[in-house]
Amino acid sequence: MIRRVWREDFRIIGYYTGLVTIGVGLLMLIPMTTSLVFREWASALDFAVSVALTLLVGYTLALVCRTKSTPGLTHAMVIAAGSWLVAMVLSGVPYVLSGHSESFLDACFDTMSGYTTTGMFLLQDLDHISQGLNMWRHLLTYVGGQGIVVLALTFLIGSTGGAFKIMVGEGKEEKLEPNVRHIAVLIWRISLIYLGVGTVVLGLIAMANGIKPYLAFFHGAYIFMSAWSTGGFAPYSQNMLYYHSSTMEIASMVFFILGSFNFALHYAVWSGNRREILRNVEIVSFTITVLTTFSLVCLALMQRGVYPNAVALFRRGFFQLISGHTTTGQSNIYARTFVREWGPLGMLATTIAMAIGASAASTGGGFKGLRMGIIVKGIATDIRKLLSPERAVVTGHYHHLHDNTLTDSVVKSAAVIVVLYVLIYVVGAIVGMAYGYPMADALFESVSAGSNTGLSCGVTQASMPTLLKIVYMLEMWMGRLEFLSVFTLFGFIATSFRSMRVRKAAV
Amino acid sequence: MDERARMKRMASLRHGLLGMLTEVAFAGGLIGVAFLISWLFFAGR
Repeated sequence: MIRRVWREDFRIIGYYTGLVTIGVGLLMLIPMTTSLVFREWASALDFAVSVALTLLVGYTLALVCRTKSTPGLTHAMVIAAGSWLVAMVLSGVPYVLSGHSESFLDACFDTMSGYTTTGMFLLQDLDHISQGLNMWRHLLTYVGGQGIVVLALTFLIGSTGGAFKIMVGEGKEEKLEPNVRHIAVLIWRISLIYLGVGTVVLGLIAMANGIKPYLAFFHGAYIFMSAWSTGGFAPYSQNMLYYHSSTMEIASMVFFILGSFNFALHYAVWSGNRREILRNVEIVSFTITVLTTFSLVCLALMQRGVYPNAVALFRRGFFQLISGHTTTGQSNIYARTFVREWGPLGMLATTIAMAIGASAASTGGGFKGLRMGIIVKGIATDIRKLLSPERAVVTGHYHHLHDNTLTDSVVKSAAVIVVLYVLIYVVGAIVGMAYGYPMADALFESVSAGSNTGLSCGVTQASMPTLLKIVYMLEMWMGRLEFLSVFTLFGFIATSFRSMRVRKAAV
Repeated sequence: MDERARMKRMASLRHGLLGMLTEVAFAGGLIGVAFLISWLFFAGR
């Protein structure tokens, strides 16, 4: 039986959503400062207005709904899903004020794409936006990768009993430490250390490629934030192609491969358990699928004679493939190259890579290597059972941080999530095809949105149908939060209406 | 900070640094294998 919704439920949800909103408002101070440093007064004013509005909404929610109650699992799920929606809307205000978004929906598309680390964009004249707005775009994706609730947990919420549940609602379900605040701090510590290293490395490469020193480190920070968070944004519309630098591409590749790792794996490896990187089921599954899909890409590109030598094949082919597989979406080819040069097999291999995606509890999307590994091991165990004598007890195992027994419920829950991902990929593709896009293009773009990758074959642009924009936004949101919290939010809204009707009938 | 706490901190820093190097080496190895695959495709043409 589904329980009724009471006023206290709304207070708990409103209070914690308010805290997350305050976190978003405070975050806007960083791009505002960037604009001030670069003397972009109009942009600084846009951010000042946005900060004021976001803090006003956040504080109003937190004050009106002030409560000492601890969130339960339902609240936690609704808070996680709802916070992302509120953050998406308010974060879009600077986009609209900048005049670079054609509509508020386009601004929301970009912020949803940023927070979910997708990397698709509808922003106009990207090459001439302010440094402040550029900082905001990349900051969105950096924070989205770690999780906005994780950010709020670190600085605002603290270790309440429901805090871990909210984090689970955001797709970060690995319990690295008993204290939830310590988990959030750990995630941020790993990310910030890499941010320092990455900014310096990529900044130096940018400088060596002729970018002015003070700008080079901003570029370094932008590209790192985009790579580590498996986001895919870049400061210019040509994305990685702008730099014409293989060194930059290889460095970025290293960072987005690392960004696609499970935070629990980072923690294990950084705590001295370095062999885990070779034994973990996710990494084994990731390595196998990367090399298999890359071989398919090589086959497709060789058949069509697209690249003249192995270096060009590796530089374009592997960068695109691994960018898709880690769900990053950075690109060193033009969008239409997929259709015009890569052909159906190249596009299909990239689509499969995107659909599988990165690791669980990482900054990446897709249905994740862990689930892929579990399902394959489940199938292998079933085959072993069939081949063994009837009385034999056959149990499967998989290694993820420690040796785990493969139970039917583990395989079932992995399979359910994979089915849901496939479902959103297919629905998005059907809507695309209904608008007249070819099947390969519609499927590629839908999988890219649903797996939070952001690679585009040319479908995503400001002139695309409004319904398709909304479908892609829903795909990004559901794909990022892994369905459960979004479904709980829908269920909560439906239950609220039903409770209201019951109360009215009683009156 | 006493000697024991200092040693613990040093060990944690060492593990962190080695962990980071391990991760970078893994990513580098994967990129290397991918380069080998593309080279093999051209060599076997």
